[in-house]
Amino acid sequence: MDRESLLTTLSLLRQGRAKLVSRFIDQDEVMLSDMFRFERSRALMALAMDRANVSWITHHYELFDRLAESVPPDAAAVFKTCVLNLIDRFDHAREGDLTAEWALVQTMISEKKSLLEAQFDFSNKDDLNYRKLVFAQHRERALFERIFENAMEKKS
Amino acid sequence: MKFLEKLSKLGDLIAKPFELIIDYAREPLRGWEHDRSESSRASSHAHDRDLEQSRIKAESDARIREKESEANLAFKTRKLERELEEWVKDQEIARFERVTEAVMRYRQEFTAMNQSAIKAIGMMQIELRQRAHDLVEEKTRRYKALQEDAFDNAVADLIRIEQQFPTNPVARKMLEDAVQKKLATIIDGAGRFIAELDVDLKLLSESVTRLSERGEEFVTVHLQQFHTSQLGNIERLTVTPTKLIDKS
Repeated sequence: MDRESLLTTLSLLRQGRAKLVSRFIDQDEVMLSDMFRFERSRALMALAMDRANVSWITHHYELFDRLAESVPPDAAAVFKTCVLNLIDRFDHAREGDLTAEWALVQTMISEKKSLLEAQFDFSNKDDLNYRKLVFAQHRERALFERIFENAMEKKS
Repeated sequence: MKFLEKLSKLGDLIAKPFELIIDYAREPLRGWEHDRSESSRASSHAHDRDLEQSRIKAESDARIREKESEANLAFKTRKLERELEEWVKDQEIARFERVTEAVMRYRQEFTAMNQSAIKAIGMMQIELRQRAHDLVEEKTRRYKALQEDAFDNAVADLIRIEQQFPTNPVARKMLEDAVQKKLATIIDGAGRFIAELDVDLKLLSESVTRLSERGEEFVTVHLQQFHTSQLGNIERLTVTPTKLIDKS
């Protein structure tokens, strides 16, 4: 790899890392809100972390697409390998053209993103059910207390 | 007779001996001329003969050369044909090698791509199913906690009723019924929502299979494109020998 390719690769990776940090510095509302909202729910926190990770990986794709024309081929290969390394258990160790894997991971990441959103939707729908039940609990307790107090008044 | 005529006759008289002398002098010249003419005739005849012989020889030579040239051409043609045949064979071998190489590379790509894709998709599906399962479990626990709380609350109420109305069965019955209704609302409601969670979990699991469907679809399309591009490369790289022969 020549000096120019190396510098381009390092610059791309630096921009990727910058996004990781800027989400905290700029207080990314979605991500930080998830971190506080779900701090008591292990399952939802895991989903939120997955969502944040997917969003970060997607950012690399956006970054690469924006600069693709100016990125030398060997720098692109190194960058793609590094990004593919972010995907757990994706066997991308083989050498050669990574175009297919790069596109496949993009498809899968996009699909995973929508499946994660489906789980959040499912969770939100259930939260509504749970709140209905909690409301029913409060209502039933209040109604019972009224009946009990009425009986106590009659007794005395 | 005029003077001039006399002079002319005198001239003739003077000229005659000279003419005789000239004639005499010309005689050897005539002989030589005759000889030369004879010789020339003979020489011309010989020359013609030579020319004829040369022509015959040249024609013969030309025919020989033509024959030789024909033989040579036939030889060269056979040689060229042999070379072309060799070249065609080489081309066929090269073509075959390229096809074999491309097919092997295709298989390797296919295997590598399929393996990594199947593995990655499989792991993502397991993860997503696990996430959904964990979420449903957590939510079920929450409903169960609500049910337990309602049950404990009902027990506390029944104890309260027992303590407050030990001798009033009518009031006790009415209050116990109210406790039962309150408890049933929570127990049944939670049970209904837990059942709903199970249905949703199944739906989520089914939707997770979308990931492998998309993955398979992607791999199929990619491999088709790969196959087409490889075949295209082979066509571009290889000269079709039969076409070449037809053209020649």
